[in-house]
Amino acid sequence: MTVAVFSPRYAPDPGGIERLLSHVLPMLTAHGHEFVVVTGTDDASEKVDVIDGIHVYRMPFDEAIDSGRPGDILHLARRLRDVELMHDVDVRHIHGFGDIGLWFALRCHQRRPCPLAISVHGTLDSAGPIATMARTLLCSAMVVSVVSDAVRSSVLAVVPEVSHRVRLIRNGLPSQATTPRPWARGPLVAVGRLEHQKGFDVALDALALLDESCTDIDLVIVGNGSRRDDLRSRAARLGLAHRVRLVGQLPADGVMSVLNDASVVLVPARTMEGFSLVALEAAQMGRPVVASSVGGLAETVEDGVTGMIVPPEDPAALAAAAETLLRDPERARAMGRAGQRRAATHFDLACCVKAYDQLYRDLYACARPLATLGAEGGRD
Amino acid sequence: MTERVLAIKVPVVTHERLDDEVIAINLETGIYYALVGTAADIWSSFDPASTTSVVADQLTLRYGANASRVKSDVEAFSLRLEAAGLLICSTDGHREGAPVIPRLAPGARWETPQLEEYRDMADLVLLDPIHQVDETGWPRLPEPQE
Repeated sequence: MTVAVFSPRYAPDPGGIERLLSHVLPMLTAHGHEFVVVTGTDDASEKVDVIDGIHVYRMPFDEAIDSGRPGDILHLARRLRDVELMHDVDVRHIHGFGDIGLWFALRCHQRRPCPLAISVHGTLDSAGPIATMARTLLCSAMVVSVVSDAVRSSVLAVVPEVSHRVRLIRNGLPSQATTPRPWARGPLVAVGRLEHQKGFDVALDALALLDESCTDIDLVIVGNGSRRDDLRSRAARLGLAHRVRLVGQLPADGVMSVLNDASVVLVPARTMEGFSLVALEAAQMGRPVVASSVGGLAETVEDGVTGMIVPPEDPAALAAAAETLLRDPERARAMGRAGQRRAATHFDLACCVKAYDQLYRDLYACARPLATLGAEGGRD
Repeated sequence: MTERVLAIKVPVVTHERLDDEVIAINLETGIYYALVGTAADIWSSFDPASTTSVVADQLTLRYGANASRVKSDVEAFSLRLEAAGLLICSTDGHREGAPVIPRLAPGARWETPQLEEYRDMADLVLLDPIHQVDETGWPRLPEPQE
């Protein structure tokens, strides 16, 4: 059996879904599953890689749609069909909503239906713009996996009829190659795309509100995005330019190294944060996390145990929580240790892989080869 | 009474056919449409402009199907296409030329045509701030303004 995995992007992209898949798929391959990955690219032409023995087709979905030429769209849809046939795809698995590749996956599924799983990684907004397409796909899926209870609730708010098909598969990460250093007073750290939803402007405002005992504390922000210049300007306006380091993109080991130096890791997201692998990575490094109470963050971070949960868009609360930990190193260390333990017990990669293994076995039980479906009743 | 002649609403509607599938985009509304099989054949039959009676006759022959069912389906589907702003009543009258429709696939039979509509394509494009990324996978920053 071969699974076509649709993902907005794939390794080496550093996003959460991409990192998860780059760990999970090779392990599932070792369990006997076969995969072909279909993902998008910003390039004008298709690229094919083989990563960890898995074929990765990077298709110019955005380019085709942006062209406004129906012929380009049709040819790409046809190419996707041919890729599936070439790899004898029996099952589809869509990860994430929110990119244009979703439409191509939907078209593919409408024309050649086969057992479908959808993994939802961020909370859905019932009034959101993708509600129609998301609803169609969710209703077609045999299994809908969610990364947190918060995501489950958001899915059921949009499509309550799929409740019996939803299962919780929390994300997991492998043990880090980076050895955690003992907690020491250091900078606040935030990692992620520099976009509005991540709330890094709130972290800047919080830094400005730290009291006199924390004037030695800097804020390190890892990542790039459309808000970089806004953040730089905001730091200057707040008189914090000398205490804010926007270090841009870093490789995975560089990110872990920065987390390892943090006294507190901030996850001040505004919305859509279904899980936060960054919070999990921080826990692996033994760092306490202060996160906003949106999406699944309160499940990844145990309030008062592995970190603190504060209201979103509340710089004063974020600052107060960070101050509490900076003033009380023993508490910060204890939370870091608790985070490490929780990461190992609750978010073990092997458990995550086992759950996906079972998901695929459940789908295989219902699968027939696509070519057979096409001949018997598919419209191709 | 003279029967109305219907035509694809170009240039507002851009469209293309590949085998048994048509993608049409209404550029005014941003809505995408997919038409497959009989729906694609009806679409192609209005390029050049035609009447529902002529289209129904042609497709009845093509499919060897029941004439009254095909006529009923073509009329209903044409109304749907008009309502979606994809077909308009042509003032030029019936145009010369025959529609270009690929050979019918073996075993194909007449089925009630479906118009698949995708209203959230533009939103999906706008929703994707994540993925303007560089070769290392990190978001690509806008070029500095001169």
